[in-house]
Amino acid sequence: MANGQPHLSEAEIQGLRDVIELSRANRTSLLEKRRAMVEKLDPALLQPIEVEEEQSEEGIRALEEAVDSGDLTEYLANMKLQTAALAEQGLEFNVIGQALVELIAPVVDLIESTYKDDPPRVLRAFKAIRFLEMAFLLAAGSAYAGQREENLESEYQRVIRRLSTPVINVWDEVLVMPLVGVVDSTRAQQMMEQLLERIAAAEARFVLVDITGVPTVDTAVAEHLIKTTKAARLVGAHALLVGISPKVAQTLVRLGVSLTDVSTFPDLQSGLAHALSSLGYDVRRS
Amino acid sequence: MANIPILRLEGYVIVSIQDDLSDQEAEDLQKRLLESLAVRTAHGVLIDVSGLEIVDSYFCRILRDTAAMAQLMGVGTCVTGLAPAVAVTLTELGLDLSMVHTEGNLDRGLEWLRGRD
Repeated sequence: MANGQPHLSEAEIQGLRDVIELSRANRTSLLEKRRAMVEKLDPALLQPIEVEEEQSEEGIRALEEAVDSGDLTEYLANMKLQTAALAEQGLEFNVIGQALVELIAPVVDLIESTYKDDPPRVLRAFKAIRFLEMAFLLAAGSAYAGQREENLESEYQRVIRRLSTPVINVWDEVLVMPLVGVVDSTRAQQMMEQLLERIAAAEARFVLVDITGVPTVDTAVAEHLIKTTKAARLVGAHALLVGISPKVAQTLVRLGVSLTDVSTFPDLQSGLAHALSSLGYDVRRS
Repeated sequence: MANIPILRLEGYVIVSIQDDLSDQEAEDLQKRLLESLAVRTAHGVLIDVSGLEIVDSYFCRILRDTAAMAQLMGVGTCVTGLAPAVAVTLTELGLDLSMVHTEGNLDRGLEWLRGRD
């Protein structure tokens, strides 16, 4: 309603003008109520009375200008920005909703008591204030949804980074790095650095990079893997690529990716067997 | 920087580079190293670069060339102790050291050279 129809009908404009007039006339008492509400919500948000006075005056003026022009688009966009700021400060949506109800209640009381002899006018003003309330809720709702999505996204990234590249010491001088999920360039870079540090620390001779858990291997990923192998060799370890599924093998060949410089094995077991026998271990049942 | 000592131990030539070299110093080192091989042949050359935080394209080429030259003189070369960060940089920049044998530390390098004899 509010977002879809920023252009106002004559009745809505009249109603909003009444609301504006009432808010002006009762500024001091409304402001007191607002301060009491804010204090209850979060005392840290309470500002000096002069600032609040200024803000409420500005709010009324902005609404007045919007009503004068008959177009609320800009007013609503501004409202959305302000709610987004509140969302960023970490206020919960229901807290903001509650605050809104508490802010509007005294205005509704005022409408009722001031125009009690003129029911159509009460209705008109009431419709107008409901319009504002809905607009505010819609703005807050979409601001919160956006905020939440952003938070989830960055949280998701953080978790992936933390979990993404464990390096396991499976044997003396043998490391395994299982890769799970999508390998992008940020991750590949981080993965390489981490692996090299571990190779140097463990004085590893073999590193098995297990890509069983990587769903798709394209040219870029293959490039990263080749780079990792080269870098590992520079610090003195052979990197073996294990866990190449038939599907991945098909893709790589069709893409024309050459992995001839990299030793590859179908699974971790055969890679480990190769590493151990190269190190001189004789693995057998006793 | 003072002359980098070229040491001999059990028939192996060991050079430890502890600080960044200028291009000139790197070339000098290459020359002296090859001359020492000519004076008395060796089983192998170990170049330890664990003290380096940066390896640029020029020094990379010096390493490559030195290894190739020593090979022409019948001596294998192993570069040891490249720091992980240096390895990442070299790979990212596409500087190729694949024709030089590298090992994690001096011990491993010596082991590799011994295995070649």
